[in-house]
Amino acid sequence: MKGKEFSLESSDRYKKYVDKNPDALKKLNFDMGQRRYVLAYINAKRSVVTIRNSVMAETGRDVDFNALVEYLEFLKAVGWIVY
Amino acid sequence: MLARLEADAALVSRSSADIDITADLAYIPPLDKDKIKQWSEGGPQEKYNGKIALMWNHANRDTGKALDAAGIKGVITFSAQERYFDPDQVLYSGGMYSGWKNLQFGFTISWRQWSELLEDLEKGTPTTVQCKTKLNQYPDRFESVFSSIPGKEPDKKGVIFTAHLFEGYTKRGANDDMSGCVVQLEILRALSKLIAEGTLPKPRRTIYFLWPNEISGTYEFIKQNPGFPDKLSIDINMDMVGEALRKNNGIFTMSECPNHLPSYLDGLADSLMNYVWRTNDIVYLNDSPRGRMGGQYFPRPMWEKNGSKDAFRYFVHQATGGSDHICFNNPMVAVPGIEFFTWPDQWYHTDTDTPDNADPTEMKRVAFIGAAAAWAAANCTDEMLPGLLDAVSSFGYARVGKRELPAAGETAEHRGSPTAGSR
Repeated sequence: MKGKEFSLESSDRYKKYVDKNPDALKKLNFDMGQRRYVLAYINAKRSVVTIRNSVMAETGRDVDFNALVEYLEFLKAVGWIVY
Repeated sequence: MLARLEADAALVSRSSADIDITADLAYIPPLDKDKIKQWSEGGPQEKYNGKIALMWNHANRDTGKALDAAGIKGVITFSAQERYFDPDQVLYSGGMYSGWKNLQFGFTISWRQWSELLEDLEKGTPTTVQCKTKLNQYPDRFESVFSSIPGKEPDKKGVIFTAHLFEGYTKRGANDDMSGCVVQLEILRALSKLIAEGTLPKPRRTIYFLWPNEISGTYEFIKQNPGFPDKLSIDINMDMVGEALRKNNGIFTMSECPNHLPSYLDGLADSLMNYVWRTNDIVYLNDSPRGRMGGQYFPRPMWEKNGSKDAFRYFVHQATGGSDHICFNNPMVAVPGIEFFTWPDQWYHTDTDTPDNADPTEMKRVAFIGAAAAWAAANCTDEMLPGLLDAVSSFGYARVGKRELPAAGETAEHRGSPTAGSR
């Protein structure tokens, strides 16, 4: 979607997925700020560990590795990222 | 005539109706929660029914309901960035004026006009006002100006300048952001002329210029031109760069590239601003170029005819949003972008954002900084690289020392404590 869609939360694919899976967001152990930074640091080159460390540096808070992986799975299920 | 809205259509509040009403003016002080409830449930009030209210603020959902129930036809209020700095300015604003039975419009006037009306009412002078609006709606469409200076390596990543021609609604905007567009137009003109006469070679990389509707127009342009971001290495955005610094009590600023898109551009732009500062201010350092003996002269003044003799002072801060660079910094576009800006702006989003508040000297300096940054980025050669690395590394060390180390220290200090993560 690079260069075609610009906001996850405003995208149809996100709205459809959340409508279909209303509990998906509640299960995530991530607040909005952390989610925003995860999206910013995903670039198809950085490792999950690098993304985790970067989000920690940006927010000054620990990031649970498993929670990050769950969020990446969520983004994959939405269709925002592929791996 | 007691107050006049001049010729600026945007001083009529959003959601007002077409009206032509002549009615007495009545001052209504701010309504607290209890008053709002009491008025909303009380029905028409003899004191206010059919009148126009002079108020401190526009009607919102709650006060609108109360005023409508009381029989008020409309609201006249003031709005200003800084009412004492410029009592004649009117800040674009709006309230809720649709969907009511009586309440149909809101007008925004200046602090001076508003306070004079209040004085009349407080003295007990009967005041009748005639309020007229004629509203038209036009279909919106995205129109952008796009230009370029072709490079010798058209398939390689180039540089883009951005500034917005308008912001999607009717308002004045000499500084916000005609100034960014005209400074870039001057860069385009000057570089094209120098290339055409052979003073400068054709750049290696293409330098693009995009002047759209702010943010929404930039996103639309990117969407309509698939693959365009892949042709870009950096974005230089200019927003409100024409304001006279001293008159405006402002400072020139630069928003860095965000941390997820680190770029040499921060250090390059900082070094150019630093050059203009050291040569256009009286810098009291041993290694600074000094002015001539016998006066506080700038070492190498960069002034423009009819412009100010202001010193150039600037401030660099971490990435912020609010303008077209965020479209490029968006990870779905991923082109590192900086923003040149001026803040505070005493005439921001007001009807006095007019050319007389601009400064040709400031615009010349910004044009120099922008043109030099783009030229270096579009022509980086092995000869330029050592200097560029020096600038980038100095900027990086300073930034780490000033900002990143204290932040890391604070995080480490709080880790495990109840305030962890409060930074």
